[in-house]
Amino acid sequence: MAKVDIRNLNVWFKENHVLKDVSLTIRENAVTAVMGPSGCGKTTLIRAINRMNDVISGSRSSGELFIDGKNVYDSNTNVYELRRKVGMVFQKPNPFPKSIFENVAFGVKIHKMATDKKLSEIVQTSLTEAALWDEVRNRLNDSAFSLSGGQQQRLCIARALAVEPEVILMDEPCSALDPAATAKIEGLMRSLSERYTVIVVTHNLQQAARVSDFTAFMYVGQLIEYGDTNSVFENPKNETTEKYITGKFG
Amino acid sequence: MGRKNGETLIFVSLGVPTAICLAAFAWIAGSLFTGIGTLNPALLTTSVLQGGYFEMIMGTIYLLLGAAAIAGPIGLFASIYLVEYARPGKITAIIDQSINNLAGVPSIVIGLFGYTFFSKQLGLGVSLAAGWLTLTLMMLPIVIRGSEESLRMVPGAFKEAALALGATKWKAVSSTSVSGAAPGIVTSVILGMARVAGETAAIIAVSCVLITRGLPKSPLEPVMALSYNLFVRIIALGESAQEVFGIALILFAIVTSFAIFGIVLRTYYRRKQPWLR
Amino acid sequence: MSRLLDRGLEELTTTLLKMGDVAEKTVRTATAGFMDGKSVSDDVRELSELLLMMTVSVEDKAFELIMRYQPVASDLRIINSYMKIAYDFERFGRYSLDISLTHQKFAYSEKCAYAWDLMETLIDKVMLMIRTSIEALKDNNGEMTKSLAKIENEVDDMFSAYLDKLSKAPPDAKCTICTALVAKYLERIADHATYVGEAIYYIANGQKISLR
Repeated sequence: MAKVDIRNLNVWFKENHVLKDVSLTIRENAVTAVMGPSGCGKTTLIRAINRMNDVISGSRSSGELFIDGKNVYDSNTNVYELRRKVGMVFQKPNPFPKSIFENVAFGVKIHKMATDKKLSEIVQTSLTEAALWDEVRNRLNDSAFSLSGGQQQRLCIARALAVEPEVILMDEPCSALDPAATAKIEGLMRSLSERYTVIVVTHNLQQAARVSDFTAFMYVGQLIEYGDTNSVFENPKNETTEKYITGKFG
Repeated sequence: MGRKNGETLIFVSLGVPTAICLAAFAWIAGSLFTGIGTLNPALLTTSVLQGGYFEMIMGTIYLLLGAAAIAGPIGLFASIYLVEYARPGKITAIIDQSINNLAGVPSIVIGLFGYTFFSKQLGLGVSLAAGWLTLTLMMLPIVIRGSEESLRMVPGAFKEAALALGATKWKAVSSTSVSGAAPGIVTSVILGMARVAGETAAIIAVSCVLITRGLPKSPLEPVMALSYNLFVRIIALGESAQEVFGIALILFAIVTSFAIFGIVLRTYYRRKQPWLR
Repeated sequence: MSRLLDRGLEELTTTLLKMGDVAEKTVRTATAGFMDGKSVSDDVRELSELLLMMTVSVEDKAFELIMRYQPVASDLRIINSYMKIAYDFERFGRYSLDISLTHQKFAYSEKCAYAWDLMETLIDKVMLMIRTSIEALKDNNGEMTKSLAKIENEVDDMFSAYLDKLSKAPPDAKCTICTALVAKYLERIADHATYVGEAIYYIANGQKISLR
């Protein structure tokens, strides 16, 4: 069942045509990986899903992007609600310079989603879902910056989970982390996909092969191939895909 | 061998100006401290009518606090606008340049403007209020530039994270950039105060008189100030160096304590700005 | 642009092609010995053991490549198929050894192939299949597997017909049994040649087919 349905999406940054007529449907409750060489438009693609491209000056887009059947590029879309529903985790962990508790509570507060009493519960649930609770339960008031890189990234995941999203976008979430931390986050991706729709941008082929159910390959702004991960990695249909994943070009 | 001499030469040519600065400061401080003989704590709280300095000390403080209370918010919002909302273009460039120009206006000219506009045109007369507005004009460039710099130093990643969680632009800016830049903003206000504390030319016509009966009861009343008083005593009353240095020392102490307070605040809040490390 | 994996794949390919040649030689030696009534089991045993060693070497190399390079797509299919083909070539050797040993045990190295012509034809067809499979491997030609399928059918038919004829044969028990067994081994060799074809088809097309 399609959670996100992208149709003929085009994105320009000033004169630069970054995404060219991209169409694909993302399945619910699965992990979809978007891979491709640098500059292929994969980050632009996922940022289109929660309309974070709007923040960049000089950006414009055409085409439609449906989430649960509603076009998020409609003029009457509530962008703030959209971004609550579609959470995002960035490449470099970016917790706020506040306490661990305040980080997770931030989103909940701005959307006025809970009373102060329920807040502690929500923070605990989110941190547990992000596999961080046991490590921070006794120091919720410590600064977020006292955590290691991998822990900070899990904190960012908890922060996104706290506002009860349905889709989670991850933009190369492990590229700044060491292998052990990476393994933890990859495990999280799989467990989160049971309740959420997870879309991961990665330039690490093996990671795409490890964690995803479906893989999309992008090249120079176009969607070249999209299918279930087994097929794409065992027997890709497109020659460019084959060349890319076997390392025969950058 | 030539390289070593070169190094020594550079060390000396950098060290000499530094030494000169230190020497100059030492000489000024030393001169000021000759005035310490005329001071005693009683003077600070006794009214001018009884030979003390109370009203002029309070006058200076009133002027500074009032100007800060006006220049602070205006400068803050202006800097937020310039950093977060203004779109790069001709208009923004003009605004930018105007702020720089304002910083370069001689204080006597600002004082004249203040007199003509605030005192005469707006009918505020020679008053505390007019003084506040005039000093604000002098403080604004410092507050705006300092706040701008602080805002720009806050990593954009925080704002992005807030936006991605569904915050409105204002919420994202205020809870991340502004709160992260707060120490820098406060520091620039304090530095602005330190800058205008010794202002004489700006406030001569606009707010100060030589003597008042007690403290001003409303902002529309004129006020005494340490800098103005110093000016008058030297020029008009021809008083002795010793006595005048005493008043100067008080002014110096006020300015220095503001500056030190600002530095202490900034150091204390560095903790909360881990991205600066 | 040459990748680190490419050198490993080259080594693997070279070893496998050598194996093919050795396997072919083994079958030829065994069948010739059978037809000429000579005892060749020592030579065949030596060749068969060489094939076993080479199989191990192919497997080890393949595992090393997987461990180091996490290959995908065509690279992965090549490594997968090569391991299978190595096993099939080893089987050529194993069955050849069986032929020689059976001949030695039953017929004391005499010339006693029943229905001489049929046996000759059968052997020729099987050798052709072996040659075809090696050529397909060398050229990475998935299309040749079709001709393999055809010949394999012929071999199957011949084998059934042969057994039929044997069952009506005069009761020279040892030769009859020996011949029947040798024919069976030849039929098995033919099967494995088709497996090689299937594996090569998989490399080229990414699909697993069955030619049986």
